Amino acid sequence: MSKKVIDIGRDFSPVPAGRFKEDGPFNGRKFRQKFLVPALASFQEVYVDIDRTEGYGSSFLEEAFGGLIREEGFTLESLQDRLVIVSNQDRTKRYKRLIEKYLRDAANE
Amino acid sequence: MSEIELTTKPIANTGITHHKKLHYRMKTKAWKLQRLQAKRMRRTYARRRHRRNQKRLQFSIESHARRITRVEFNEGLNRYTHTLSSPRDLDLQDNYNATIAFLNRVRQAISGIQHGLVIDLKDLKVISPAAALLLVAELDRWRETTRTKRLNTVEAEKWDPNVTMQLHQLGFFDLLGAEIDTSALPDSSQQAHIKFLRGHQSLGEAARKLRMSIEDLGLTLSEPGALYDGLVEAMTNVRHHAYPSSRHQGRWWMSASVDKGTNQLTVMFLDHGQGIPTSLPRSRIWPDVNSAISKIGSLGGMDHGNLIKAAITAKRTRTGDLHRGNGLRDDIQGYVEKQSVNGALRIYSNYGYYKFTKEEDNREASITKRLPRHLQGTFLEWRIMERRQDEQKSH
Repeated sequence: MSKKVIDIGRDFSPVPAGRFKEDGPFNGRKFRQKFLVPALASFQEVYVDIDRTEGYGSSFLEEAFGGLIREEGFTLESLQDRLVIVSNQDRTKRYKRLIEKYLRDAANE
Repeated sequence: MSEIELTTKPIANTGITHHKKLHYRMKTKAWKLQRLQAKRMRRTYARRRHRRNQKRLQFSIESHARRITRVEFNEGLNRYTHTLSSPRDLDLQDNYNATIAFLNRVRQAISGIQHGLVIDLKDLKVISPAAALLLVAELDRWRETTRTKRLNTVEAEKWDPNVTMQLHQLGFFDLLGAEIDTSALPDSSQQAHIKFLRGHQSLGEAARKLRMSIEDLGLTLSEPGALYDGLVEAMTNVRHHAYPSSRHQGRWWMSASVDKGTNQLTVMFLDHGQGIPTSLPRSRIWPDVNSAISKIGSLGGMDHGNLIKAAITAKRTRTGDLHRGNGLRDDIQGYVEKQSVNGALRIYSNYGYYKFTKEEDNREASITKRLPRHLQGTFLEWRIMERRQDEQKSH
């Protein structure tokens, strides 16, 4: 089973922020289109490490992860099987819960 | 007779006679010419009307600016100037009316007086961090709008040393490009200020820089991630909602200060946009805000303070829009909600004021009120009772 690990802080930016391109250089849509979508297209399992950043605004997380269902056509079930959010620090646990919430909300929209 | 017959002979499949067609063509050419001339005249008149209105507007702005300043001889410059004096206290909480009135006059004077405007701060004895940021942002905006103009300080040595120190720490003199003698300033005032940062996008790097500057002052933030989330979400909101059509697209300013006596951290964020209450009716979440207002049930109804509260508390219900507009509640108010220490969020926007507090024992409360004067844009202020790094270690 092929597996891909994306470390947001190392591979994308330690300071992600904003929803769209015009919001800033490290926005949620860019992360989704440049990292998440290609990884999900090529690998069976995608691990996203969320530990090594300053934090995440809700706009970034919603656009990056909720957008997978809303914009890219993935289903909640397939993402629950294939997308693994890795959080090894207490401070990032709530971001993991938020990502799961945004995925559910996007599926219910 | 035959010619007449020819000119009235119908053209195949059109129903138009030769005669009529000829007439139609001639009329069309003349009509086109007339229309072109009329269009040119209309443009000329519109341009003249626009220039006339602009002149009138500028005249009215200049007259107003002259009315709100006084002409006096400035010894430092050795010439007569238009002078605008500050009140003794600039403080949003204790002296809101006079503070905003002064800042509004600064803006009006700046836009109306092209040369020889002096903003006299000699009478200023107390300036709160919030008012200092508002003043710095006003001058920064002026400097940016009119790049050819120069700002300078005159007789800064006569200013109150504590005020000068505070403005120096905030980057006021760097902004002006002026050098001051810091050796005569007090070593450390009760409050330490962080140089203001500005931008026009959601810049995570700026939020990180502010966090590092706060920690350099000896504080350990209890929720550094939540501070980052609140700041970048405030920047994103400015980008999306504050400036619908303006060349100041997305412009924001932020700073922080630390009270060394009480370890109170104050983080401030400002934009000069249209303000939350003004932007709401055009936003996607307006129907939800509307129903939240009816639940608030205050006699104030569409009062700006209630509108801000409704924008924060409204549950998103509209299909297709559930994913938008949660940053104000989840991240901006969330920075205080996530604290295990005492914290407060204050929002000033247009005529609205909203305050949310959370106590150490997890009690939460919020109040709203109508402000006596209009504040252009939105000002956010978080106040958190942090611990110092040495206290943190001993715990």
